[in-house]
Parts: sequence; structure tokens; C-alpha cells
Amino acid sequence: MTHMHIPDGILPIWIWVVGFIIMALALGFSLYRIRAMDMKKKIPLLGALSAAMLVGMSLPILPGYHINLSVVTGILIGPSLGFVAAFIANFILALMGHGGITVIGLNTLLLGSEAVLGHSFFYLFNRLPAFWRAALATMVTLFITTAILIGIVAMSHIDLEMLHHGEEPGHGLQKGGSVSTFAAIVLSIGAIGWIIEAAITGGVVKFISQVKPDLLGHMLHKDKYSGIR
Amino acid sequence: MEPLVTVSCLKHTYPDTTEIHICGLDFVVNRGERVVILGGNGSGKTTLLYHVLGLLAPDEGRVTVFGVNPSSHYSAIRERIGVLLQSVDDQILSPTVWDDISFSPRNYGYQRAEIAQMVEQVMAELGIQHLRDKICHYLSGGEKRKVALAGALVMRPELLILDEPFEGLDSRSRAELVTLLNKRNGEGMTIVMSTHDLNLVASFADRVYVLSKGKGVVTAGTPAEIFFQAEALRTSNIDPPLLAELFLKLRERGVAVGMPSYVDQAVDDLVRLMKAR
Amino acid sequence: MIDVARIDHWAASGSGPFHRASTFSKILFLLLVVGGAVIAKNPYPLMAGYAVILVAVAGSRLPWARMAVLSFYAVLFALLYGISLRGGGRVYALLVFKAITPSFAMITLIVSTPYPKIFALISTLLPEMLAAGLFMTYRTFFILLDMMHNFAAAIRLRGGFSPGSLFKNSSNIAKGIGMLLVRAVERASRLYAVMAVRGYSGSMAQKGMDRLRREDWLPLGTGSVVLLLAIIWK
Repeated sequence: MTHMHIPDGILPIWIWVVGFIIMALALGFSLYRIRAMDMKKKIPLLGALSAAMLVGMSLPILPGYHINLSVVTGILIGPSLGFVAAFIANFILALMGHGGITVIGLNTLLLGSEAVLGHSFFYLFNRLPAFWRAALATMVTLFITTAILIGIVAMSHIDLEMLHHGEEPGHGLQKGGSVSTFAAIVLSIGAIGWIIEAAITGGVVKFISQVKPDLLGHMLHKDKYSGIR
Repeated sequence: MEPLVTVSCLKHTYPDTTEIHICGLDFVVNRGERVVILGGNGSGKTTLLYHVLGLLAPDEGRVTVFGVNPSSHYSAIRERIGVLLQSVDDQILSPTVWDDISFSPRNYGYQRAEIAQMVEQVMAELGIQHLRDKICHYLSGGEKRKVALAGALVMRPELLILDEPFEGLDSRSRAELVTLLNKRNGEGMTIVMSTHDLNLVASFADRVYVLSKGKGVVTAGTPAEIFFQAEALRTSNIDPPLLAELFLKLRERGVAVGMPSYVDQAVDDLVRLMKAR
Repeated sequence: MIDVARIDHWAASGSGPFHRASTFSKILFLLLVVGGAVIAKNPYPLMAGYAVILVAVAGSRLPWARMAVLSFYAVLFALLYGISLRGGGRVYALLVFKAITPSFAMITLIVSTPYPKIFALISTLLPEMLAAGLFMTYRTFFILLDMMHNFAAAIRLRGGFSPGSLFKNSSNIAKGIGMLLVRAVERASRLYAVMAVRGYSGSMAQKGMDRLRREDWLPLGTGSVVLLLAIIWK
């Protein structure tokens, strides 16, 4: 999973402000795309999958590691609703003291990207059996979002004042340290996490394909599915 | 008597291709009646109620509630109907008790002061004022059911529909619920309820409809009339009440006894019989 | 993850000054502390700020020791980010206190304010879809958590967890999560029916700001002190 547990006050202001702006645009676009869907269908689905992501994060899979079910969310409810669910999950996580409130934008972009990319790759790999389709989609997605995370950290080292005025960096957190060391640690720990999340996501999707395959049929986020029983 | 609900020969096919037929007798609920729907698992009780609530539209057949087709005109009648579903965890939508009880009036556009009065009134009636600001998840099963019922009664509906309302309640809670429902019925509320609990039917129902899987409504009548139709009940996967079964067997053996619905009636009958000997 | 049930219990059962303060003032308190953490360029004002919050919390009959422990959860990730920076102990001290001071403020907010009240205030700034999603997620979270606990218990009782059997354990966990998702989606479709019959038309729960109160001086004062320290202590 890729969630910046970076607390408040650590990243430069400009980077999390830009994160919020991009998040707001992406959220607005997602809400626009699902505007035709009945609210009475959208809200329970959002609640279900956002809550499932939070429950997934509370499961003690390994000491210090938790899954987040973002790829499964994207597969089940589609990229737009999945992005909104990622926002809600992150918002609540921040209110649980899990990561700062200033990084909600960046975290939503990361988690939401997992839902969007996971959905896309899952349907791209449609010739594979359910387990491998989901597992591979998860591995590729998490690699990409981890790379984005490293990119964000690298960008946070850009001193805008220095760029603008050609001056030495100011006080506070000294930049120019070892992003590559950070990247190496994150990628190596992350790779273990990707395998675990891929295996579990593959198992989950395989189970769903056996028990209730219509959930994987792109139906939940289409308006014609009523599902009343 | 004015019929509030009429259902005629319903046929519905679910997305997983399961077909439900509810034909046989027409299902009619008159204003002011307390109607109970009895039936075994899979007999179509919940399907029938969902059609009355407009959540399902029949493939064939006709459903009218307050004179309109509920599946296409529910918004015209919804403020007149209160619902208590089988699963209270599904029914309770909002985080706190106050939020949930005030859900319907808030969404129907009532003013704040009016909402406050309605909610306080129904909480007092159910004795749950102390739960006002509690988070619904942490309530006990019985408390949740009272909150869900409060949410159903807050609008003072003309028609109250309850799906298996006694599930998970102890005998005292059941008795309290029956008392409350009878009180509201005395004030003019019409009640439709599905249940497995035959022992409560006698003290509650004006009219009983019995559903059987694949056959629809197989019989209807007062509790006294229904209880002694042992065969009809058994084919619907319902065991007759113990009292009815006892007196049926006595009648089969030639003993001249009546058809009591209550224990007191049965005692009177037996005492009369013993004195006559 | 923080034990939400325990947090809810503390939030709902307390009666000290922080509990009695309005939700608005406590959110402002959080924002003031976060603002101080953002602008601070050395660790000392944030250390002092942490101490100020600690004193305020302890004086308000909140479980300050357990709250302080929870605030340290943020340290690990701050230090991980610190690997990418250059600098000695002072840099790391700044990182640590930039992490734990706002974290402590957040924990103070959630321990003294039930989540529905926080959502009710924040919802006034969000579109209905997101506001309703927040309330619905909060409500659903506990139901799914209970469901997951029941599945885990059932798997364990039926021999589905064995020490050292990674493949079997992972496979059974995945099935449990799969069942959870299936049930969650089925529940969502039932909720559609419930929302329809209960007349949903745009209001999941009460929104709005509670009135300002006398006790608001405590969170507002504490937050202002932290921010002032960050501004003047360079």
C-alpha cells in the first residue's frame, strides 16, 4: 500500500497545497463522472468500500504492515467512485491520527491512483485467470504509486526560493540529503508489501469470482444495477 | 371498510432468475386493521412487503397502496408509511440515535423545531430519551430495535409495516412492543406485520394471511379461524399453536370443545367440560 | 491502527473542560497547532507547545499518558522521511516534534469530541455526496469490523490459521476479506432500499456548528500559545 504517513509540518507548504489543488480537481472530475448515478446507490457503495479499506488497514497481516484494498475497491466500484472512496478513507484516517491533515491531498492522490490504476490494469489483463489478473494488476499499480511517492519526496527537496533567487537554502530542514537512500529503503520494504498485497488481492478477487462473479462484471457502478433482494 | 393495501396475484422474477408467485387469495388490508402475514422460509413474505413498499415492481399482477401504484408513485405516499425491517443494522443509517430518528422528517423538509418536537415525543413514547446522543453501533440489540422503531413511528404514519419485528427480542420486550403497537392501532394506525411467532398472533391480529412457498396466499381469516386449519398451516411449513393442536386432537376424539385462541378461553372451555361431566 | 472503539468511548463519556468545549473551537485548536508545526524552524517552540498541550490535557481529566503514547506513532514515519534529509540531531528533533505536536492535537480533538460531531461540522463545507459518504463510512466501519472479527474467529476455530503456514493463512485471510466485501456490497444494495423507504433526499445526519461556549477559551488559548511560540521563537 502507498500511504504517506508523513505527519504535518514536514513537507514544504507548496507541495501539499498543490496536492490539495490536484486532489480537488480530480475529486471534482470523479464526482462529475458519477453524477447520473442515484445518490441512494452511490452513498451505500461508498460507505461499504471506504469502510472495507479502513477495516483492511486495521488487519494485522504482519507486524508493522497492513493492506489497504484500494485496488480491489477500484475493481469493484470503478475508478471514479473508487477515487471518491479513497478520499473518504484518507479523511477518516487523518481524523484517526494516521498521517497529517495537510497531506490528505497527497495521500488521496496516491490511494486514489491505486484504485484507478488497479481498475485499469485489471481490465487490461483480462486474459489471465482471476487470481493472476488481480495480483499482477496490484503489483504494477503499487510499483507505480511507490515511484510517485518517491517522486513527491524528491520534489519536496526543491527549494523554490533558491530556484527563484539563486540563493542558498534557508534555515529549518536542510535539503539535499539522500533521496536515493530513502528510495532504496522504501522500494525494498515496499516490494515485500507489494507481494503481500498482490497475493491477498489475488485471493480476494478469486474468491469473489467464484462466489459472486457479477460483482466483477462492471455492474456496481452502473445505474441499472439495483441488487434489491 | 376502506382498503389501504390491495395485492392481486403477484409474480416477480429476481435478477438471479428466482421466481416468486403470490397468487391464490387477494391480499387486502383495510384501514385500522392489524394484519399478520404468516409463512415459512421462502414463502414470499418479504417479497410481498417489498412490493407494498414499492421497492419491487411486479412482472404481473397489481399492487395498490393508498390508491396508487407504490413502485411508481411511492413519493406521493411515503410520508404516510412507516417501516421496520428485519435487520435493524441495515435500517439504522445515521451515526447517532438523534440523527437516525430524525432522518425521515429532516429529509421530508420539516422545520428544526418541528423535528425536535416529533423526535422528543417518540423517544418519550418508547422510553429511549437517555439514548439521544449515543452512537448507534454501541447500543444493545434491543435498544437498536427501539431506535429503528422510533425512526418508523416518528412521522406518525397511517400505515406501519413490520418485517419480523420480534426476532431476537425476549418475552418482556415482545410484550412491550405488542402493547405499543396495539396502542397506536387504537389511535388509528393500520399495521401489517410478517412473523413466525404464532403465539403473538392471537393477542394481536385482526386478520391473518398464510403464505405457502409456490402457492401464494393459501388461506386467510381471523386468528381463531386460521389456527384450527392445521393442514393449511402445515403445508405452509407452520406448526399450529400448541393450544390449537391440543383442542383439534380433542375434537378428533369426539370431545365437544370449542376453538379457543387464548389460554383463558381454553381454561373456560375445559372447566365447563369438566363441570358438565 | 488506533482503537476507534476506545476513542469513541473516551469521546462520549468524558465531562472535563475539553469535552465541554465546542467542536468548532477544538478544530480551530488543531488548525492553530498544525499551523505552528508548519512554520516552526526549530524544535524548541514545538517542544514547548507539546508541553503546553500536555498540561492542558492533563488538567482536563483526559487520559494524557495514553494519548501521548499514541502521538508517538507518528515518529517512525517522520524519521523515515528524515533519511532523505541532511542534518544532525537538531534536524531530527525538529522532525520528531513537527510530527508529534500536531498528532497530539489531533488525538486531543478525537478523544474529546465524538466523530459524528466532527463530521457534522466538517460536512457543512463538503458537497452532500462526500458528507453523506463520511457518515455512512463511519456507520459501516463498525459493522464490517465486527463481521471481520467473526470471520477471523470462525476461521481460527475451524483450523484455518496455523503457525508457520504462510500460504494457508494468507489464503484463508483472503477468503475472509472476500466474504467481507461480498457482504458489504450486498448490504449496500439493501441500504438503497432502506434509504428509499425512509425518504432520503439529501440529509444523512444533522450538520452544523454547535454554539460557542465559555470552555472554548481552553482549546483556543492552547492552540494560540503553540502558534505564537512557533512565530516568535526563531
